[in-house]
Amino acid sequence: MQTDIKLISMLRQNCKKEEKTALQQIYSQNLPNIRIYILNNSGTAEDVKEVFHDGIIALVSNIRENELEITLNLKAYLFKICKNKWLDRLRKNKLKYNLSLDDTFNQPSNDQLVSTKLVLEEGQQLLYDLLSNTKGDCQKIFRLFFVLNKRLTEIAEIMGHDNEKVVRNRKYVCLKKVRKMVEQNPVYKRDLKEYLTILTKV
Amino acid sequence: MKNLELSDKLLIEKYLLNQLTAKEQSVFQQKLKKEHTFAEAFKLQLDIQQTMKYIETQEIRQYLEELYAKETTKEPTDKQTENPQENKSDTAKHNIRNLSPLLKYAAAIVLLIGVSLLYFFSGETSKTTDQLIAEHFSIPELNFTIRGENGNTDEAIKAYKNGEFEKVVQLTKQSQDNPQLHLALGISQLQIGQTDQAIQTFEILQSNDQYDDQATWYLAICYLKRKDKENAKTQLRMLSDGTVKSTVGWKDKANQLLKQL
Repeated sequence: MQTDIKLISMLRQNCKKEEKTALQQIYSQNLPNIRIYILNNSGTAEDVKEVFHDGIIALVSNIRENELEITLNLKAYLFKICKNKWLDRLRKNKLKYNLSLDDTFNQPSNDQLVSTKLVLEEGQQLLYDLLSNTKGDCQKIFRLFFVLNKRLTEIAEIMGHDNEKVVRNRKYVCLKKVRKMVEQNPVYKRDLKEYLTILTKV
Repeated sequence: MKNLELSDKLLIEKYLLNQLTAKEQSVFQQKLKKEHTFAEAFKLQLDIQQTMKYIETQEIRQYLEELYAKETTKEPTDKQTENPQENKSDTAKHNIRNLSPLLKYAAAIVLLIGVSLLYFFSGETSKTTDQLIAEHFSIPELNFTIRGENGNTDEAIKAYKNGEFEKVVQLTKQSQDNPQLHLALGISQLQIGQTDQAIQTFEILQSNDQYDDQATWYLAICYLKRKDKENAKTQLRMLSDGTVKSTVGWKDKANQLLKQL
């Protein structure tokens, strides 16, 4: 069994195998408690699955984006996220429940909100196919920067490059390649035009 | 689209990594409203970030579904089948321990001979970086299409054609705009042993659409000159996998050199 510090580190690495190992442990260690809580508070088995999965995704996102403290207790943190998500659902559905909102219930704070989009814009759907099939160093740089939020100095170290300047250059070569593939697409052009128009109005 | 200044690139990076100071936030917002090139460049990266995170979330969700299926259909472990496996493993260990000492020494000698042969043959067949450079690099003839911009330009072109590379480096600045001269400068720097400067020159040229393939190739040669095979391979792979679109057989040259590295 890995410690919390090790699990956090595994989720921040660019290695799917490590990620899956960490998720597996988090899953098996935390499902029983979350299940008990939700089922005892007007929830169904389906609710348990949805809330628990949303909670893990929020946890992973926060670990990668917010550089959470290494002294964090993952179990307590995940429980808090799932509890708040569940209470949020109950509030939104306006169900009658035999549950008093206890003093420990908090409004979801910013660090507990999932920052990933649920639906892509049309122009982004074009990028979806492109980025799903990107391979090699571009894929590596994009994942390290855009998903794992690594600074270019860190990426240089990970990929064995001399310095961040080299990585920045490589990144812009990869971005140029993507731009060339989308810039003539009418849907992407339309989305970009709308975005630029909104910017000038704000 | 015009290339961004370094300061703009840094601003976008910091925004996406959530590292802008309050002052930088203000500068960022102003640029977003007023500079189209900046806004377009930012939007592309924002779209890529959001799309990649979406892909990542989907992949994680899929894996969580698999875990859920396993958790909810867990079977009890079959303890009866464990012992035969343990017994097999014990026997194997027992056998190994009883292996004759003479056989152990024989195995060690064979291993030693094998490693020596490998070392000997790998030393003979793999080429040094100098040999690879000699095989794959030659000074290209450049057909300059620029003329009479200033005295230095003409002089630099003449010097290049005459193989006076020191003079080319003296007459040409890294900050100048013309990509042909830039290429000539990089090759000259490489030729006279100013490898670090050559790397910087080619890195700048790599952002030019017409010359990025050549710049990438010569960057690989520069890294070989520094005996840095890993970085050389990285550059060559960009040509090989199409990250940098290439013309005139640069991809083939890259593939050939990659095989030898």
